[in-house]
Amino acid sequence: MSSWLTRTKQMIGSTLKLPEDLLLDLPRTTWIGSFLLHIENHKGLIRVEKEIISIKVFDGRIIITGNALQIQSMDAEEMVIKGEIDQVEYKRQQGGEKE
Amino acid sequence: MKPMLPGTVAVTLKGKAYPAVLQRLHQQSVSLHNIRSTGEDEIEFYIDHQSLSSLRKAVFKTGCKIHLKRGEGLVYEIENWFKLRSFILWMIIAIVLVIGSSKFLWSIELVGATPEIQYEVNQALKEQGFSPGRLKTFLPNEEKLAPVLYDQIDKLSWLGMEWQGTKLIVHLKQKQGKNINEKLTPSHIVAAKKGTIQSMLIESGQAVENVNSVVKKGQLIVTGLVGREEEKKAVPSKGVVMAETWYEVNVVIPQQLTREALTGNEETKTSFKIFQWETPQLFWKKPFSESVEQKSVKEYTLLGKDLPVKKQVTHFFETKRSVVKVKQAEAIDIAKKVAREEVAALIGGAGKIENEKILHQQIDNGKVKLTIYFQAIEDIAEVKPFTEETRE
Repeated sequence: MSSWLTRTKQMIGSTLKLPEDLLLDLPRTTWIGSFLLHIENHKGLIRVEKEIISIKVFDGRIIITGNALQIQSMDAEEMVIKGEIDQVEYKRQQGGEKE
Repeated sequence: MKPMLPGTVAVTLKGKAYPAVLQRLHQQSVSLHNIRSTGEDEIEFYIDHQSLSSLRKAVFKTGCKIHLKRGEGLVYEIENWFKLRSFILWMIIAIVLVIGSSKFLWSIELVGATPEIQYEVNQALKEQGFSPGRLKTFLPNEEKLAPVLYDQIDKLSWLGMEWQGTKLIVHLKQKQGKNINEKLTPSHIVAAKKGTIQSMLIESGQAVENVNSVVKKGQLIVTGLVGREEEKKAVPSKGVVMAETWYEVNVVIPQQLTREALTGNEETKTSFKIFQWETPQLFWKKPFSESVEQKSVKEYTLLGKDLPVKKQVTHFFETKRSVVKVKQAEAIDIAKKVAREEVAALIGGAGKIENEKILHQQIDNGKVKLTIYFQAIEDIAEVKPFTEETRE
């Protein structure tokens, strides 16, 4: 998505006072205890290992580290991650960086 | 393939480019379950069996290898059923079931004899263990069963068992005539009515009264104590005592008789009854001023159970009332006939009317009043049992 479109959307959102995640396709993460992570609006998987899972989202990636991680289910929009989750990291995409 | 049935397949994906495969699957919005890594650059996940074709497309030219494991779910279960080995197994189970079920008794049919005997036999059979669902081999055979039933049911003279597959047909024959073994208690014969004895026919017992003697009601005619005075034996008395009896009958016959006759016109009305509520019939009135109603109700059954809806058809037959005047002689004839019928009902089948005489005749308010005297001959023997101790 080009930056001007994003900015226009943000502007419309702020003037109309709409929640931004609806307009911008932003991810929504729910972390239940330390064992279940629910991610909506994801854009796909990048890496799946036992200790680390990284997920592509709208403006970067979410990196989850922990132990015995596995993805319980993956749909077009939702993802449920199970395991001993230690850390959830949100890495915003830098200017020149790609994926 | 089998689009409607659920089923998942376990897939192992190996190769450096596995994220690209996952990305492609995600773009095609294929849902995956239980994704986990099983080694370096190797992941395992479950995929719906309908999406297997898109998985193959996704793997195309990525250099990854997929390995499909056995599937889970209803599709694969059904597939399993139709494999040859299980098919043979089912076949054997079916044959065993059919042969096994033919070893059981499923229904009993009773043929012949009266319903009462059939009912008794049915009860006795149940006691002997003949009820649907029992194994044939454990049931008693005819030689064992028949004596038991003959013992229990007096009126049964013969029974035959016939097996028709799983159905048992029991043929019954009842005893004809009177039961000889019926035990009679010692008894006297007394007069049931007042009368003059005309003739006596005593089968057992000893007559006390003679022919032509007048007896009162309850008087001893035949005694059940037979023998010499010291050693009298009590026997059941049996016999016919024909005696002359008298009746006086009062009859009143109106000379004007109203008669109702059907004209032959008929109307029907149909309504439905739901539980106790009857469907109303608007704009409907009785077709005739005078009529006879006849209702017939038809019940509907479904699977052997009565439905609450019933169809009720009412037939109306038009009647016409007519007044007939009867002459005096005719009225007397009618009165005599009525009186005779009355007496005949009193004296029973063996008796007959000997003589009749009009004692009194009166015409009053258009009514004929008659007093008729009847002389009849009838059997007045009444058996009165006694016990040997009291001798009464």
